[in-house]
Amino acid sequence: MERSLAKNYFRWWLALYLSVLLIQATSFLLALYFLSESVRDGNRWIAFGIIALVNIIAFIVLHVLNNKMSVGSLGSFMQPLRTSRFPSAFFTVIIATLFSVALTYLIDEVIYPTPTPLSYGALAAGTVFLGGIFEFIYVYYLFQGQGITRL
Amino acid sequence: MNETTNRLNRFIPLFLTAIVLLALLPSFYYPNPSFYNWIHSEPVYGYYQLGEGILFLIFFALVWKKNKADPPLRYVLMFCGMILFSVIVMFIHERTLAYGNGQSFHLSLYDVSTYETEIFFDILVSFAVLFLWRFAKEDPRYKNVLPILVVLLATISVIYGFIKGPDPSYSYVYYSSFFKSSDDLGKVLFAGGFSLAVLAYDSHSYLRYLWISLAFALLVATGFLGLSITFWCLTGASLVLSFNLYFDRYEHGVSKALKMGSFFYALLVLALVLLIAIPSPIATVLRSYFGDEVVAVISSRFKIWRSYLDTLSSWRVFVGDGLLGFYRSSLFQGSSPLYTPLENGIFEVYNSGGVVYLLFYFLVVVIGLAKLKKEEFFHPIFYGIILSFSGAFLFYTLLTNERLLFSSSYLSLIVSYLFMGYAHHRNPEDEE
Repeated sequence: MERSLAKNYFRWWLALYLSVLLIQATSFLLALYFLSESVRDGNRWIAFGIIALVNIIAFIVLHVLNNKMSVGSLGSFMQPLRTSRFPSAFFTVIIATLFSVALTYLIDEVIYPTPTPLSYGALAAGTVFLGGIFEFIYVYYLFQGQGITRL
Repeated sequence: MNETTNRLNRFIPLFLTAIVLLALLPSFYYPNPSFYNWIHSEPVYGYYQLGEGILFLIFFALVWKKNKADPPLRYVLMFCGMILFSVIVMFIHERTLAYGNGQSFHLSLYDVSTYETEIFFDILVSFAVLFLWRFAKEDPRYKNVLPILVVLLATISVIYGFIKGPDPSYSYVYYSSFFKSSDDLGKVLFAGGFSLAVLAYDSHSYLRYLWISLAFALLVATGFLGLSITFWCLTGASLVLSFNLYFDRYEHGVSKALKMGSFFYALLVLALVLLIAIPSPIATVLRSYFGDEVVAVISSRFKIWRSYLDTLSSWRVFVGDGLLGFYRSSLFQGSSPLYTPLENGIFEVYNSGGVVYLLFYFLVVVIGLAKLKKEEFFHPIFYGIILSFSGAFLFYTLLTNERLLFSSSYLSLIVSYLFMGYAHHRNPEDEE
């Protein structure tokens, strides 16, 4: 009975953890994209600023959550998931990319469709790709956990 | 392992030889272009590729089933994720583009389906390379069939290339031999050079020196055929290999003559570089063979890459532009729709699926290298051969339309077979 309750409690924490993880990954890729666009006179500084702020907050919350989910009963429930950190990191990048596509479409083509005077494709592709690699490595190591339960 | 499975594994190199021949066949243009024109006509080429792909998949499904070769779950999940992502991206990519004064360009269903099928096929090929081709190492009786065939093809192509002569319409030395463009000739010669290196490793005494001499002759011919990108990639790989041979401390079957030969080879390459670099009448002649194509190709490639990147914007930065990416630059310039290959393995991959595809191929290469290190690290000469030529191939893909290491094109199939499926030993008993 007590274990069932703890598992139910863990599900909510896991849902929160994964949501924050996706927000962090998506905002990181988006921030890099809008930074590239802004650097090339794209006038997306407000979008970049908001997204970068969201990213920093999500980053801090994720760090706190990861510490919390590495100890006690939450830590023990997380162990089986931590062993699949490779696909988890890969799927995080996939889902974050798809969310980024949707949000970029909304911002760049629906809400505020102003063409950028200078081409930013090369810069954006380079930074976003490096961001994707970084995100993969970051999530891979994040899933290793903290403290005594670290894999 | 039962006899049927053994026979199936033994058959892998022969099957790959047949697949490479099927993949290579549509590239032959000379002496009679009618076959080329027929096979490249609209429905024929699509069906041809589909047939080749289905044949490949059936065979490797059999290998998978018979060997009960279940890869680690993390990799199965990664490949499943890629298939799922590819399906989603297929629907995200645009198929219509408005340009000029109210005109619009629409991609046909045939073109889109051919392109997407090729992408799915490439993902499955990389799966087969990583997890199934290693079974070919278990009974390597026919392992040399593919390398010998490639060497024969490269030698015949060189001879025919010199008989046919250069194309006078180019300002630099341009030979294409049996093929429509010099790119295909370069690919065949690259595969020939790599195959000769592994054949030389696998042979003993006089036969080894015969393969080395042939490799050297092929390298010189590559230079004089004006295929300088292939030439410098092969030279770089063979130079790394010569250092590997010269500094080998444990004498892994390396004779003193071979060590001295490696040393003189390195000196020869250094002399060639100096002769080309220092301005002189000889340098002018040598540059027309060993440098002009590189300069011409790189400058034309830069223009293509720049115009592609200039058209990249919005959500396309994340998932690439799909088939439309090959037409967008010509449409943005206001001209009629013109298919422009990106001539860069990284861009080709990026255009198909953006960040995720690049990450996927990056991980596939890392997994492949880790497996190669695990299996061949204690055979340093063989490991050196595979690593140097695969590295040269990765560099080669940066200037051609080859899609990084593990794809369905014939050069990639040959390189990845030698990378993951070629055994360093002759019999299973020889393996330490």
